Amino acid sequence: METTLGLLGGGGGGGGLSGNSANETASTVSKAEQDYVSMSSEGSSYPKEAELELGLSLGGSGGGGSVKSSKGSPWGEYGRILTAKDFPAAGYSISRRPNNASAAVSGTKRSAAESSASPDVGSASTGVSQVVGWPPIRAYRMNSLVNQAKTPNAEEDKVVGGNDKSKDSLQKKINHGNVKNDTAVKEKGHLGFVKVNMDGLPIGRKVDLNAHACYETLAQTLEEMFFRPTTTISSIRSGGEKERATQPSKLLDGSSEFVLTYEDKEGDWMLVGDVPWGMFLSTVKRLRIMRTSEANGLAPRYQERNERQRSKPI
Amino acid sequence: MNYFPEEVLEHVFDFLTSDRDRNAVSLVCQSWYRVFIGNCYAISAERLIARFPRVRSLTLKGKPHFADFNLVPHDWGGFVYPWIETMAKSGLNLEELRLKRMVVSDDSLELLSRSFVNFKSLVLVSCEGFTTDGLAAIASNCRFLRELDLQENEVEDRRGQWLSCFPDSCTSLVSLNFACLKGEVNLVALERLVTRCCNLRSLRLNHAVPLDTLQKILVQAPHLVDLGIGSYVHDPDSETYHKLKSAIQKCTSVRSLSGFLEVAPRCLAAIYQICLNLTSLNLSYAAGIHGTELIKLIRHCGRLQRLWILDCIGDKGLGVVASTCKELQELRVFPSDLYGVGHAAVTEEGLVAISAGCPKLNSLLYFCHQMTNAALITVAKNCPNFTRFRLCTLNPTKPDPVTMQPLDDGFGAIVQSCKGLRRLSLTGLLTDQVFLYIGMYAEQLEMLSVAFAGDSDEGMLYVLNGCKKLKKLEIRDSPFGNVALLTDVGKYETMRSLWMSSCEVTLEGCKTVAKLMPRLNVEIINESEQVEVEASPDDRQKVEKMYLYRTLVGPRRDAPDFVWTL
Repeated sequence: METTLGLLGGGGGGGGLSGNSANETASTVSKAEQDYVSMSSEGSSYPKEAELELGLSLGGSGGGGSVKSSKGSPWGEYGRILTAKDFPAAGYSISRRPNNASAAVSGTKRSAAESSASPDVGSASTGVSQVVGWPPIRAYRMNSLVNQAKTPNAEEDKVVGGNDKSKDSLQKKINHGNVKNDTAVKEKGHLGFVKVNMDGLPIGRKVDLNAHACYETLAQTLEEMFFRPTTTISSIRSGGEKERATQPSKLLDGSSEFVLTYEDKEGDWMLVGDVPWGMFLSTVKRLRIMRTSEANGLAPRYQERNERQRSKPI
Repeated sequence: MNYFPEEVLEHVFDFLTSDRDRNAVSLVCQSWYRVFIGNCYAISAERLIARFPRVRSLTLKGKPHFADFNLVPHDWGGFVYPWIETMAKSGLNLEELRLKRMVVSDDSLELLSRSFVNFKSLVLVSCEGFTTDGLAAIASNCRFLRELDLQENEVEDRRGQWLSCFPDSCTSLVSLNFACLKGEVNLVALERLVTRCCNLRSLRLNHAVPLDTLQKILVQAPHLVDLGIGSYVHDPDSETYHKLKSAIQKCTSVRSLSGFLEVAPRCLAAIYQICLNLTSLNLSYAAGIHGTELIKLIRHCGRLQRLWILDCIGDKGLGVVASTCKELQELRVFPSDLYGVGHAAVTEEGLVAISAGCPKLNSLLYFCHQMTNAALITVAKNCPNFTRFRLCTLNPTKPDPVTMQPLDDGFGAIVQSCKGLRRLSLTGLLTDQVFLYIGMYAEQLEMLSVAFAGDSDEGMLYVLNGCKKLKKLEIRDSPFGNVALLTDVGKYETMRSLWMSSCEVTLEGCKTVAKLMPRLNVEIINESEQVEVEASPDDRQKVEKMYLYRTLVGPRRDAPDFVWTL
């Protein structure tokens, strides 16, 4: 192998390092293959290797214990904070066997996979968007795609610029009673993804607020992102979110070690859940999953308030 | 005579269409005024200015390509401020600045606007870090501004009146693109600006500009060549809409159309006339146009050379493109539905139809639900002129659904047939075999993007050994490790950069490269809270993200905590 140095003049750089014997290559390959294959082989979402255990336990029983592979089990037991180590393949585990007919794509930490034996998984694009950086679309376009799915019908009224005093028929169509709505909708279209940080994790995530219609689904999604996800990929779809809204969220009911807070337009940090969802959308700038202990005694009051809130729809 | 890395020498001539020719140009000429720097960390501003004191036009690229897909943490780097500061201090007569994937603060825009009297052109692509306040500074202070082109940037809207900041004396605008801005603009100020800038040829509006303003603008600027429509919503029976139709009829110069960020499909008839002359059409943000309306529109576009579209056009729609757009050279099909299983929007059928109908096709970006080897082989036969070929199956390891085989042979056919191929992205189930083909046949390949592919180090080695002109290699989630990384470290000095994330390379491997190659920066992005700077990390640990690149100026000083330069 030649070591070309291109246009950089001057002396030679380091020579190439020839690889080790085939043995090492083979074992590397098999290990790699094993890593990839083992993720999907048992039809379970998560292998039971120790490498998946870590982090803080977040209340509930058995937090920090080995990973269970059940899907859809109630939220309780998995209080763990996941770090980058939990995402060896950017949260996505791909079966590497070429002759595996299903070419199963099983989610790992991000969301529990359907059984890898499912023949349709290979052709489905469910949950593809949940892998970091996949599909490879520029973030701006991705945000815009999501926002466009949420903005109202194009034929609806729009608030025209304030200076426009034309007597055009469009003006007549503007329903002034809906101005506030339009503004809120516009702001909503503006929002898209907001940052979410969690105490103890240096690297944050982003969540698309427009994909949610209430606090419960937002909290569920955040719990999946930051804690152990147990729900299936299909629940990421908008239809599924509604179904899952009935499950109580640990982040909202004060029973977790963490609470969900947000920074509003005025720069203040507020507890999530007090104001109507639409109002929240119009004022939220970013989110933070904060340790309850740091929430300065808000929790008891919040818990009490949430008892009330849980009984009525948000 | 000193040599400079290719980053600096590229684009040394004005309208050098062939990048290959630039290799032939190795003269460094002091009167050089247009400089292209493919990696802002390959060289410093001071050295650049010392070498090219008469620089007037600078192109800078910052973050690695995968940063576009959120694989690079937010504060990684790519700050333009130091560049602007240094250039300002040296009294450079900067006229043009083009930035891609860089962090641009309002302060930098302010400094830029105040430091260079003759500043004429600002193009920002996929940048972030600035707000509309920065734009206001540009508008206010750049007296001879000709071009302000914002493409797909994340811009915080400060609800200011940046557009109103263009003084009445500003009449020099030729190109204005603010389609990516999310906020309102002062419509009256916009109309006035367009009226007084009689040289305006390119105008791309954002979603906040309604149809009635568009109509007024078109009356004032019938000589537009490139038009980006913001909101296209109106009552088709209204007077405004009729006025728009007659205004459009006078816009006989429009060759490029984009936008339709919001659209009432019944109003599309007004633009059919423009479509006849279009060479470029970008409907990739026009989610509101689909189905029969979309097909109807396309049928008018017989002269198209470039088409960017959403996959809701479907295979049948692509068939219409194939029979209508015989001059097509570039096609991009973007996904429109990320969440649902949905309707398979486009498949290999659409691509095959295009290849059969559009033999001049040379550039492709195609997001699809599935692909077959047979289709790729057919495409390769029909279109041997590809210079850029990027295929993305939404499920990244999906095999050929008909044969259940990997897509190795299909891509192999592409690289074998398309002798001029310079850029390639592949997805689908892929083994080492495809890399063998690439190494063997892709002689002109400069950029390769790999995701979830290959079986062993052999794959990567085939590429490194075979592709002599390789400049950028980016790999994610593939089983390539230290053996591949270390076999020919000298190769990396012939390349601009190498990105490997979620592969099998270990810290030890990366350290070895760094030790052997002092003229490379080997950077590790470490996002795990477990491995702290003080503690000594285990060399056998796999590295999550590695980015290495050649440089003349050693480790960068602006690296954040989570980036280690080995």
